Amino acid sequence: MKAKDLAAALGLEVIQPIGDDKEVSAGYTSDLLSDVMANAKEENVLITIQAHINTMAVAAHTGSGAVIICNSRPIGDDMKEAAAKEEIALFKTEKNQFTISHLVYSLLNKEQ
Amino acid sequence: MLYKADLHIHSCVSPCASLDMSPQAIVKSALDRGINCLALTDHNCAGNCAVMASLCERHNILFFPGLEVTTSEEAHVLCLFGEAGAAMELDNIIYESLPPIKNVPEKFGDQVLVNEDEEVEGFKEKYLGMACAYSIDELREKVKKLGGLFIASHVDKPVFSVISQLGFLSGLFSAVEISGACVRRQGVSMFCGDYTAVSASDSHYPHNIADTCVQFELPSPCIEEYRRVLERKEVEIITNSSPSTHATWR
Repeated sequence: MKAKDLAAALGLEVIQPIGDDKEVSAGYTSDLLSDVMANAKEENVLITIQAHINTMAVAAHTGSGAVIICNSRPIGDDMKEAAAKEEIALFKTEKNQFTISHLVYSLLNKEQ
Repeated sequence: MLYKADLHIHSCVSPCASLDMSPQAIVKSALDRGINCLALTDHNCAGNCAVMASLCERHNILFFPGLEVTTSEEAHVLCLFGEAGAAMELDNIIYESLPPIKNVPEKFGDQVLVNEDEEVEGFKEKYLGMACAYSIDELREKVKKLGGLFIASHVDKPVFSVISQLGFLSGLFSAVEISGACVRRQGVSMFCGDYTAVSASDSHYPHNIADTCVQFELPSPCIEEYRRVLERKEVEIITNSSPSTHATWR
């Protein structure tokens, strides 16, 4: 599924759309970027509350298809710019990581 | 003058530190171990710094009051100052921003403010183990405005370090701290990159004080000279090869 279709299906707020035609085939949920670096896989949508510029660098490093920031955490301009530069779509939701993980899993129906 | 310094120590106001960590006990242990420069860095709090400052002055110990702040990314950062007033100013900003979650002493530990004679002066009401509202970048600006040093804590640790939370070191730090255990195990090179590496005991118990420390020369006893020492990387890490039992660390 394309990142933009996943965002539309889950009603996510689009923070940065460049790269939203990337494929997402599974998800990875974590707030520790060292853990994301070690375990996230290509085409994962990264589900996190870690709204930081490094999140985009780690998402790019692991080949993530998109990033969803949960709990309405504020997102700085530097993170938005990094997302655009890395061409990875950045979404935001008021829902928490548990709920979004469940919804993403239901939609993609696939483990990592 | 040559200084042997332990610049990351928790007193009894940190919920995870021993109640034995009064400023008086810390100063006594430091003197016993040949330390002549100390920093007090409680979690999100500088409440015991003024007492520590006057004890250090009496014993000719150079003292840097400070805090170990938990940022919104849940990374620990050491903020060191030249005088207790600046540390208290940051303390007020940080405490105000902590979520209104009260400490539960039997669960998290006591958060005790004491005087020079180890008498209880009060308790911090909010739980100091929480993350404050400010990001690393926002905190750096506040510390800079107050003239302090900004040091990433124990970057080798698997939790509460800039690397564990954010994947890699980025941003401007005055130095990065490597834990004594890591220095003993594998040296400092793999974590610090181009940053100046420092180390300290991160003591939560009196017997850990000075297990790891740094040594440097200062032409005059002030934080600005220490800043220059860090900029020039003129700091030597000294570890006790057989330290006493490590502090419980949270």
